[in-house]
Amino acid sequence: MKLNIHENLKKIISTRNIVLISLFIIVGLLPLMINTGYVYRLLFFFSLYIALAQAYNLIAGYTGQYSFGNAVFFGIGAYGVASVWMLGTWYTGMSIGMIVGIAVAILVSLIHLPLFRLVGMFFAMGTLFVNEVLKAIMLRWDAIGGVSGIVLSTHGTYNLPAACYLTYFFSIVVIFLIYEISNAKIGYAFKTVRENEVLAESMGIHPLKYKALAFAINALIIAIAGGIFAYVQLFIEPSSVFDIDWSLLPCYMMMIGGKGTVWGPVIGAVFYTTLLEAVSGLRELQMLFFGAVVILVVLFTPHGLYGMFETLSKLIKGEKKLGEVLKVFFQKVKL
Amino acid sequence: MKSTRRTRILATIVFVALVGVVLYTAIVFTGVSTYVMLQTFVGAIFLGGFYSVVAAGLTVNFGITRILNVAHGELMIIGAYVTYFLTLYLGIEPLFTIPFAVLVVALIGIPIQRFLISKPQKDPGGREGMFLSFLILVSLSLIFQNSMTLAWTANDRAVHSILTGTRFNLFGVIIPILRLVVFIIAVASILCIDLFMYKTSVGKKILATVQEKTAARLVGINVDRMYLYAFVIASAAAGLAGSLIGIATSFNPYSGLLYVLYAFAVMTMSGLEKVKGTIVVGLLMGLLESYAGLFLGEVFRYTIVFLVLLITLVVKPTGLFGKVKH
Repeated sequence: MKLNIHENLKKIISTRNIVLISLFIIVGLLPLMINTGYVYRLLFFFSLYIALAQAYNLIAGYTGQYSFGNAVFFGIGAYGVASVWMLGTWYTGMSIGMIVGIAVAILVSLIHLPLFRLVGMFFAMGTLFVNEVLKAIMLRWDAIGGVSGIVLSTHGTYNLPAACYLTYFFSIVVIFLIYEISNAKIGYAFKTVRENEVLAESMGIHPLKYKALAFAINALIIAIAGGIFAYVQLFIEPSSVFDIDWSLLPCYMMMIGGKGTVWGPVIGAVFYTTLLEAVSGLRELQMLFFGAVVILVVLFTPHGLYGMFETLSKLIKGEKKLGEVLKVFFQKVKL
Repeated sequence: MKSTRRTRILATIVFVALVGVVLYTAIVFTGVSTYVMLQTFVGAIFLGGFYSVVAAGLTVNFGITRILNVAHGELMIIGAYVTYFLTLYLGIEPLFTIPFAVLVVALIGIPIQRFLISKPQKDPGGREGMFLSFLILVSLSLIFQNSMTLAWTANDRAVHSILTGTRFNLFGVIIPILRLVVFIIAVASILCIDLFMYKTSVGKKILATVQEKTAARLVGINVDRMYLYAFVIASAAAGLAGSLIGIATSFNPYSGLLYVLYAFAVMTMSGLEKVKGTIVVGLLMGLLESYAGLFLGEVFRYTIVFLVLLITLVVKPTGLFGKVKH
């Protein structure tokens, strides 16, 4: 027994975990040292994108359901906070409004139930239609702003650093959650549904149930992210929070990083934000350069950036030989 | 086979009757004149023609060869610019520049397929390859959009044809001749693509390659060549669609995206593999959109379309004409 505890401790205090935790702490401390609004905003977008990409990873990377309508949960989360905030103060908005947003988002994710029997592209388009319909409803709903959106009044209580650290903490929680899910029984069920639905059914895994579960968790994460976004931006309108970008960007990041892995979306989100900031000095050429870099990255890392890191670490540990890796690489990257 | 055909005909009749009843009640309750109704009908049909022709190219790309071509819209806009510049500098009648636009965009398609798409396409996983190509094409569409903006500014452009402004009167309904010609070209080209894909030997080889790559290779089909052909055909269709849009409406480097989003919906609803089906679905969407705008107000225009599409998907998960689940 004693040995067992010792081994467990050893597992927890592994080099990998120590490196990760110290990395999180260092990144978290950086804005405090530099202390400008820009750095806080950067941290905020890093964390927001990590959470969104991770949520997308859960439904697409693990469960295999590509959605074009994730923005609907983002918008609902943002509107939940904003509409309650409008009635009360920022405090009620952030507490009650967040809960309302989450509840509605999960309800809407249950509306998707009849869509789960659609496959591939049909499912993606179905979710897009749901998003567009809800966006149109919000555009017409004048009690909560309608077309002109909601401007949130703070009365001097606006605290950007706090919101940024909240998002940062939230994104770490999300990463941890996805890590736990991927190693738990439910995670294996998700992967089975992704690989072969008929097989999953024959083994007693109800595909519909697990798809709905993945979608509900996805909705929960995105709704919280949307709520925090509403607090940070202080102004939301239907055409910005229900925009299709909120569905496609996380997909893009997840795939750059590597889908179906815990760290892939994180790397993808960080890569995306960093690259976009790095090329922002190029002005008009910004997006051109950005697109070119992404194409090169995708061409040379067929399994995402995470796959590349994995191969590199195997090389360093000596589990694979350089010649072998290069051979596979040149086979894959045949221009 | 016969029974499915009968049910399909029956379903079509029921659908048409339903639309008729809805329209009739709408006319009775809102008091819109017959003239407005017919004029809207004409506009809707022409609008639907655009959706169809964009969706036809996408169908070759995604429905048949499984490439989610997000850059399709930008290829279209390049075609529109070809028409624009040929008309501007050489003074050629826009309708005659269509072949040039098709040619230029098809030629652009070759390096895209060869250097960017062919590698993910060869991926034995298949599904993996589709999403890699998606990533590459999203980036490519960013590059195209921004380079077009840099080169030719983001201003709206329009082409002036001899037929611009000409019209004829049919029972009190005004029909613009240019739009009619564009519509006829669109429908004819969709039918041509359909014939090519399902009736010619090259088209059949492409279909065979997509169905079973290894078997196709065994019977002596050059698989890589077939993928190239499919992409070039889709690009040519994009050039055609772009040229038509350039002739009939105005465009800027960013206007391709909206058409493509709509075309994705049309393609999905027609069942992914059916090139001919895009005509029907495109026209239906145009009609739905226009009449929703007429009776319920402009704001509900797209809402109704998306709502109806959503319900259709729930009722028939493989699109209107699709059989196989993907």
